[in-house]
Amino acid sequence: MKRGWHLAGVFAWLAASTMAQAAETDPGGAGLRINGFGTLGLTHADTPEPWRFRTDFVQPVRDAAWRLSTESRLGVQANLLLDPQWELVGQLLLKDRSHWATPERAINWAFAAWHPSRDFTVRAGRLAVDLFQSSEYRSVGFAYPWARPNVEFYGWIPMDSFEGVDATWRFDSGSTRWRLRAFAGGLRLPIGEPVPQSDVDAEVVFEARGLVGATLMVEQGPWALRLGHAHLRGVVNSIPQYAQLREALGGLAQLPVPAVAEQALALQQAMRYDDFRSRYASMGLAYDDGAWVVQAEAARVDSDLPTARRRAFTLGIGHRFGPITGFVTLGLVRSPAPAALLQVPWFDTLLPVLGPEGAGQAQALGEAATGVINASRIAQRSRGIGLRWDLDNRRALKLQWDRFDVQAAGGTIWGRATLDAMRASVFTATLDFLF
Amino acid sequence: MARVALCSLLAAWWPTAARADLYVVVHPDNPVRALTAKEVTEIFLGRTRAFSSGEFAVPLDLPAESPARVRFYETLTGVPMAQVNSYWSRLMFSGQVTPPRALPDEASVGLAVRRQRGAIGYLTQEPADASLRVVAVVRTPAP
Repeated sequence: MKRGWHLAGVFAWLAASTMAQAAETDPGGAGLRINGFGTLGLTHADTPEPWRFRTDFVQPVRDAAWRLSTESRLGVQANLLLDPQWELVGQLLLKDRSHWATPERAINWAFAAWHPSRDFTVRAGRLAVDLFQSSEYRSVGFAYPWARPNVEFYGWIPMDSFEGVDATWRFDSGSTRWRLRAFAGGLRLPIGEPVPQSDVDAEVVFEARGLVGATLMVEQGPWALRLGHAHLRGVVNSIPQYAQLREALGGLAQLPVPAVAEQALALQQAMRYDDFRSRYASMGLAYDDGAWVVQAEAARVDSDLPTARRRAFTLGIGHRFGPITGFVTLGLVRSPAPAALLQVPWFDTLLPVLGPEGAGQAQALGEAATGVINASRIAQRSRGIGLRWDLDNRRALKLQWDRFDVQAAGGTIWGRATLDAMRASVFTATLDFLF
Repeated sequence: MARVALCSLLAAWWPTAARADLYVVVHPDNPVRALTAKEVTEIFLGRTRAFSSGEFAVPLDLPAESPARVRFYETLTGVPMAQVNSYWSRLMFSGQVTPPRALPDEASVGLAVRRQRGAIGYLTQEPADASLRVVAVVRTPAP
């Protein structure tokens, strides 16, 4: 089934290409359209060793302090308008990706769209995940005032796109515009994950099955309100090291020592990466009167996997002075589940039962488990200040400085994060363009 | 029709040095007789796909750097063209709506509107014959 979706996506892209010649000659509005966007971005991160800055947790870890790879990307989109009711769309997005990402991930979207009436659209194929305010255009730097969508909000979402269908209904009520969208599908995303206390990356394949959601957008004058809800069943392939850890915890959970057994069971449950359910809820408010631009959004993720739970908030305020926009940003994210700790010293508690060697192994096991769990936690905040200068109608230069504060056991978004608290500053310069 | 006539009257009366009107045109068989500035904006910003009659609208643009195009959008939206392009980049690259197709020049726009009943475009000169119907006049500052 998944393969079928991939083939459908590639088919849409190929169809767009092969029909170009005939379509280009139609002056009536139908035909092929090729457009693109890109960002040439330079970042400099001032971080303590061994931390490395990333804008999201699936971005590969790079060592250079001055980097082009973090923010630079190029997108090309083909729209083949068959007639006013039917359209094929394909978008390629080239950017620095982890070596775990398969080449076909460069096909960001590929879908067929059907517009049966003026207010209704159905799309099928590989589509943007319409999870949060900027989710659908997070790669298009020219589309937003700041250098990047807030890391605290968009840095922990592994998925840009999914494979499935969505249906959008638009209607007006007086001067208020409404847009209601429902979507359903799934995705399979290969990502790498560093195994704690080792130098290796494990191949991790994140699958979202039964992704179902809806968004409501209400616009009136300069105001836009957006409500979103989605839920999914997450499945992550079993990493051998984690499977061994869970099995050993299961053994400790059988011990006749309740203080340790209960916690071993809780730690084992907290590592159920192979099957969990998550629910996303978000509310965003935007204001743009031409001079002031404000975007605020709050999100809540509940999950039966404690470390997948999130609370996030982002705020950006900008003011335009002709072609110059000055702005400030703020972001917060935390995992509501507390950091995992061994409540009692397992060595001392188990010494009478297991002897010194067994108690020592149990203690090491417990510490490894808490390390793995805490390595999935996210707790950080940032504030930034910057400028956007519209060089012309299709190019913008941006400068931004951000200060990040990461709490202990909260640095999952970062590369080579430790479990310590950390403070970092990041300077970003980007040239965003459309073509 | 009365609204168009009034606009034309005003256009004739007002000093022409300060303005350069743009004529929004449709196929003569299109049942639409006149459009408000808001309706023109809704069509050209992709907020609606059809005329009030229900017929699908096919908006056509002038080339990206055409001064008339810049004046058209800046007058309708009240914001600089960079912001209009930013708006379109959000819609287009998320695959929601495609911007109006840009044709090479005004002659191509006129020809395309004459050939397709749902087409709608804008011209700097009022059409000289009945093969195009003017449904709105957008008053823009002089170039």
